[in-house]
Amino acid sequence: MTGITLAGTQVTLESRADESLTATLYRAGYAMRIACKRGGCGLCRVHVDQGQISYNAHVCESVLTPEEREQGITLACRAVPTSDVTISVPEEGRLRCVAPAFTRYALREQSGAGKGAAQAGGRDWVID
Amino acid sequence: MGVLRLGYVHVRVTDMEAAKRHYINTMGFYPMLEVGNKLYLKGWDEFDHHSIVLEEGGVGVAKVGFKVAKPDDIDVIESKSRTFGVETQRMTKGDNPDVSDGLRITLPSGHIVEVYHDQTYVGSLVGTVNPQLFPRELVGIGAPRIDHALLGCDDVNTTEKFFIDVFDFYQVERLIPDLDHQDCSLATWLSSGNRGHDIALIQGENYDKKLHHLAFQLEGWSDILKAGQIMSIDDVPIDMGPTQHGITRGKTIYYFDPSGNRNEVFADGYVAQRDRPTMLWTADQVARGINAINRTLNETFTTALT
Repeated sequence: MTGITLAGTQVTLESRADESLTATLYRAGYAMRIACKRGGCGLCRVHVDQGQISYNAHVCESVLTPEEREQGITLACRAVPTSDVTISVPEEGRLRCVAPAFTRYALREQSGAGKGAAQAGGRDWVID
Repeated sequence: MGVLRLGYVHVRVTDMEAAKRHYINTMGFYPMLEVGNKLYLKGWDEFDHHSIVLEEGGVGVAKVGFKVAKPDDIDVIESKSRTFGVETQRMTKGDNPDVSDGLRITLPSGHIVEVYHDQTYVGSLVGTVNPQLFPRELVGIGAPRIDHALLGCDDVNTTEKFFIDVFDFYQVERLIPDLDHQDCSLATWLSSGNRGHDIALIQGENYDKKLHHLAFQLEGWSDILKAGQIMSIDDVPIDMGPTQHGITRGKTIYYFDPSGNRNEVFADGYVAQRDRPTMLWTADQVARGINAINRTLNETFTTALT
């Protein structure tokens, strides 16, 4: 189990085994700009500020160059965290909370019954 | 006669096994030949050897083939290409398996197109004598044939002019900024026969050489829904639809192959004619042109290309 912290927020989402960054975000009620979900279009570029990721399928160099990888840029649809990570979604990635009920549920579930209520009861996780 | 139709689309895929599952099991195309890192496929209602080529390594479009009616047409296109000022190269029979000699052209947009006059005749799965409606054992969506491709261009006008001047395509529909700027094509739909488009072009920054989508032809709204149901079962990512285009009036779903190349299932649309006036779309109405029912442009359709 690894944590995905969304840079600039108080939110840390727990990633399930083999779950891509976008899969965790969408499960937790967030959305961002994604298209092909298969590592081909490159629209879901995010920056890994801290931590390590691996890929659940081959991402070709014409989509994500070695230089970009070196700089910490990754494709959220194909990247699977292998340690706790902090990610920054660029402005054009338009990360937002589209289903607050599921965000609340995910945060409550991962902090244990009741324990996370205070955090989940706040609005820190709402990214407009 | 000149160019008969779009003959083949050659796309790059990152993972051949995943691509096979998509193009064979989901789309219902038939593998005809596998050589090295390339797989050649056809639809059940196509007569020639192949209409899709998959090549492992990368994403996007490697080249697009157009079939002409007779060998002489190659000479005419070669001569017109020189006049137009694009780079050409003769190809010999066998450069592409089961494809005749022909001409390879680099479009102003950087895409490679090939024209050829013959492919090995294979025949459709229902034959030509008292044919059945369709093969009894279709696979997945069971697409009968390819329909068209949409390519990206930094400058649509020049490549559009190539298809009109050199290939003698006619313009079926066109997207322009507004009625005061009719010289600027933001997108164009071009045909050589009676389909709404054999090739279309869309303008965007750094779009040269890129693929927007390749389309499979289906018939009717019910087959579009059925295709969507199979995509749901097979976990195929959807970009848009099912819906109907204002442009061409085709019914559609846009979706992605396992490498992220956009595909479309495209049904019906009106019968295009060479003497039919070009339909004009102004940029303020583009959302209705692309998606006539929803009438809202999504955040990926004009920006995700491979």
